[in-house]
Amino acid sequence: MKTFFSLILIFTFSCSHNSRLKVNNLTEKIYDVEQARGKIFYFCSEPEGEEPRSYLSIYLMTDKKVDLFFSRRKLGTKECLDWVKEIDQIYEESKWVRLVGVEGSNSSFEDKDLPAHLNQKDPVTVNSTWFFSRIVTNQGCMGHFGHECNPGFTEKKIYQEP
Amino acid sequence: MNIKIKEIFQTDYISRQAGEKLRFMILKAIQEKKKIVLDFKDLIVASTSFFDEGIAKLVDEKVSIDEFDNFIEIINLNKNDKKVLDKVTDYRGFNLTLKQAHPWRLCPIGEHWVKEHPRSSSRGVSTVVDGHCRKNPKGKDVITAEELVEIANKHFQQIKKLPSTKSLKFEDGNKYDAVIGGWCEYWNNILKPKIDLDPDLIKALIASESGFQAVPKGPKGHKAIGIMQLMPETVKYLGRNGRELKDHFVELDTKDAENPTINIAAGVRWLFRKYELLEYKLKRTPTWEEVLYDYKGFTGSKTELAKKSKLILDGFLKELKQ
Amino acid sequence: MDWSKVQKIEPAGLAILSILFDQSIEKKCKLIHENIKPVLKKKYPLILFTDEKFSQLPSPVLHDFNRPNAFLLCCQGGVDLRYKENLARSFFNLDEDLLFSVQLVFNELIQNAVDHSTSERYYIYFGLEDDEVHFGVLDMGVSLPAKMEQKYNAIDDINYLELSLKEGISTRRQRVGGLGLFHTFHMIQGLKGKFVFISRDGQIRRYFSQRKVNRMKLKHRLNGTWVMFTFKNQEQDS
Repeated sequence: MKTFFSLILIFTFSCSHNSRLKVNNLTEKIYDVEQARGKIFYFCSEPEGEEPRSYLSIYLMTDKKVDLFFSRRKLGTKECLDWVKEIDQIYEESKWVRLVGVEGSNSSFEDKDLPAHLNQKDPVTVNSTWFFSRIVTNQGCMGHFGHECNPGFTEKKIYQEP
Repeated sequence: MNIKIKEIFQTDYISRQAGEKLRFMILKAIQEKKKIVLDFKDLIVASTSFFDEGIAKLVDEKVSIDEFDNFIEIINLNKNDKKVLDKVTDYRGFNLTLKQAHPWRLCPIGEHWVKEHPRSSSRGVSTVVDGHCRKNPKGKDVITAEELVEIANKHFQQIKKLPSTKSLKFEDGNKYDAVIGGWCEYWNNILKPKIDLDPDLIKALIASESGFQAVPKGPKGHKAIGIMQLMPETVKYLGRNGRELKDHFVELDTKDAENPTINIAAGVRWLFRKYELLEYKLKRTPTWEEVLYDYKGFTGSKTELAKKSKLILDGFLKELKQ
Repeated sequence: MDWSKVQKIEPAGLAILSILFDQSIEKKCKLIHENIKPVLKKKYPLILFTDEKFSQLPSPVLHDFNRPNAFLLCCQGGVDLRYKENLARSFFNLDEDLLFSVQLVFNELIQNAVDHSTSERYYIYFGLEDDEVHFGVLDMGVSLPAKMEQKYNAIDDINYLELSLKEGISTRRQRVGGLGLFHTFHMIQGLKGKFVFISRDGQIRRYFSQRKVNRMKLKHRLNGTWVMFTFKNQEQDS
């Protein structure tokens, strides 16, 4: 039953996605991907620690897999919520979304934060994780540090030529 | 053997030539392992040249402080001459008396550096206020952002222990090696941890925090600043009014923190504070890796994301150590 | 020389006059003095205002000058420490730390004049004017900018003078340098006073306690180096 429910969940999400996924760049260090009317979930992870801090997490759902982009460091509660609001402003009315991440890992794991956020029970398999660099939509841009949205910025410049 | 400077040097005890003569006397005594006493009785030398050539330049002859202390005794030196001697020997790195927190410092303990700045004059004459040392009321060691830059510019070309030359595949991966090495050396010397902080750890931390991007202050809501992603609160805590540190303060503002040289100096100093706090918490000496994990919030974390982030940091560390 | 506007001659003025007279003898110029105020004639030896006696003297002319509140020494042949005796004899009541600072500066400037100016002689003056101590070292040798430009590049003479006061600057080209002027001047920063630094086409006037600097281009070139200090005097209790 649980497995069936999970499958329903994934199927639902898949159907709501337009499968037009465009990978602008995929290397060991950079993942630059675009999706028209893409479905993403973004929120602050469960806070933990003495001063409760969370990671900003952005899940990119496609019919084939789930990629997770998260902040390089834990953010304070208010700061994390501010980042979420920034994404709200550029995502809600958007027709497409582009996510860029760096320092990827392809080792998958069972994620509990997303189901918890959606009030679902079963974990979701996340296939790859990346440090969040920026999110771009037709409404605007938001970067981890801020300068990623400056004209001419590209994550390629951070790394040496392979 | 007692050498009366006034008798030996008679009419010239101020010139460079006189200083050279003194230096050869000292070198001879050290080479022959004979103790001599330099007696400055009834003399006011008042010459930077004499003390520079005579004593400070012993450092160029590879004479160690221990050798000097073992064979040379200075007596009856006028108090003002002592200040001159201390100044010139400190400058050359032949520290007879450590009055500064560190030989690189521009000011003695209890004073901090204020850089040169223009002053507007009502008469229309251009005036400049020289860089100078200003007393701080509590007599503690305070280093300002300006002095951090001066020290880096002057001393970081000759740092002994640099981080690994691996760039970690970052375009700017090696750009800050001298700064990282310099500030690790500086804070290790000042704060004297049981185990010195390895510059590779700082390099790995920077790779993780910013990918060596010299990040300026971000938009509203993005608080962390610079290459080591210092929080504005941390910037405040490092200062005299931060109520966090007891000594060896770093005075900077958030704009200063955008400068990588200043940011790394402050970030390393903050790491030493985290080291103290962790030592207190664990009731034992932590490893520097433990301090780093604590800095990043990995310690005790059960989340997958913390594990992922830790893996990335460990990956950098491993690559640097290979 | 038109003396009509001159009320008094400060200690630096004595040294400058000595230089003028020496130069006039060497260059075989005649100095004519006009409009000397009676108060000046009374206060200073007549010999200062006439070159007739000077022209009889063998060249070069060296004239030390010793008064209760000022002395002038014309030195040649290397480091000359006679000024210390003059200070000890006539000015022992001055503040000990101030006197030390004066000697520190004198020694550095004498060293520079001997090592670098290539001039045959240099002039040391010291004097008390009201509550101020005036002293300095002057030479008419190779100017400081001329020495500096052999090793450094600066846009003008004012910049050469400023450069000479910075840390690590020296005019030695081969041997590892001395400390230059930086450290000496750094040690006297806490005193209240000023110094004037004139050489070739540049002049710098630096005020210590206010930490301000004035910079000027000279109207007429000075082929030499004049460094003149003024400190606020603090007399010791006797």
